[in-house]
Amino acid sequence: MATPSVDSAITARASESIELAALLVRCGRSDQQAFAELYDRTCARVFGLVLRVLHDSGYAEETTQEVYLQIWRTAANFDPAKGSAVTWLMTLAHRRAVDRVRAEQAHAQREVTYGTATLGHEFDEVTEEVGRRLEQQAVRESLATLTETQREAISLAYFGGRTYAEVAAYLGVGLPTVKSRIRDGLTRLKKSLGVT
Amino acid sequence: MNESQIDLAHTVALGSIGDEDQRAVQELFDSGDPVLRADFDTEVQLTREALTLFASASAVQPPATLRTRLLAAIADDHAPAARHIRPPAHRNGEEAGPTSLN
Repeated sequence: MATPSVDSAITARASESIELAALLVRCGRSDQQAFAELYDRTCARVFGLVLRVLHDSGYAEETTQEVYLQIWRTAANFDPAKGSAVTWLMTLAHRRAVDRVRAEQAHAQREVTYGTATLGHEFDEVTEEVGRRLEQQAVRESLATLTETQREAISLAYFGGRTYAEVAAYLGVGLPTVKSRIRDGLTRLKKSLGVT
Repeated sequence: MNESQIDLAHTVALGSIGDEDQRAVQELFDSGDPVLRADFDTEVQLTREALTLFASASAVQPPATLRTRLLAAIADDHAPAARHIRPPAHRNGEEAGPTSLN
C-alpha cells in the first residue's frame, strides 16, 4: 500500500521526468544553459552512484565528467518513450563506472573492494539535490520496504558489478537464495515507483 | 514471462550479466516471439527505473570544481549543432580536445 508521501513522490517524479526530458532535448541542440541545469538537478545522484561503484573520489570525479560529456554529445539519442531521463543518465553512469572498475582491475591486477564498505549508510546519504523533502522521504520509505538481505544482495550486484553467482559465493549462500532476494527486492522497489 | 526470464531481465538491468546469461538473452531474442521480447524490454526498463530510485539514496554532491570544468569543456567542445560551422582542426586532422579546463 503506497503511503501519501509515496503517492506525491510518484507525481513529483513524473513532473521531474518531463522537465529533465525537455532539458535533454535542449542539450541535443547544444544549449549550454540547459546542460548546466540538467547537471545541477542530477549530479548528486550520478556522482553518488559512480562513487558507490568506484570507492575513490578521484576516479568517481573523472568518470562523472566522462558521463556528462557523453550526455552532452549524445543527448539527441534520448528517447522519452523508452524510459525516464534520469534513468537514462543513471544507466550511462552505471555502465561507465562498472567498465572503469573492470579496466582498473585488468590494468592493475589488484583486488578492488567493492560493494559492502558503505552498506547500510544509505539513509544518511540522501542529499538535498535528490529534490524536495517529500522525494527524500519517499526514497527512504521505498528502501525501508526492503529487508536487509534484499538490500545487501541488490547492492552487491548493482554497485559491486557482480553476477548472481559471484554474489552467492561472496555471501556464502545458494544461487536460488540470491535470485529470490534480488527478485523480491526489485519487486518491492517497483511497487514504490507505482508502475505495477 | 516465467520466473527465470524475469530474473534474466533483472540481471540485464543490474549490469551483472554473466556469459551464460548473455547466451540466454540471445536465445530469448532469437526465439522470434515479439510479445516476449517486448515484455522483456519493459521488465528491463522498469527495473532500471527501480534501480535509479535505489541509487538515489546514495546521492553525494560532487566537488564544485567538476561543474566548472564540465561547463568549460562543453563550451569548448565540438557541440553537435556547431560542428559544421566550426573551421576544421588543422593539426593532422586531429580533433581539438577541450583545452581550457579551468
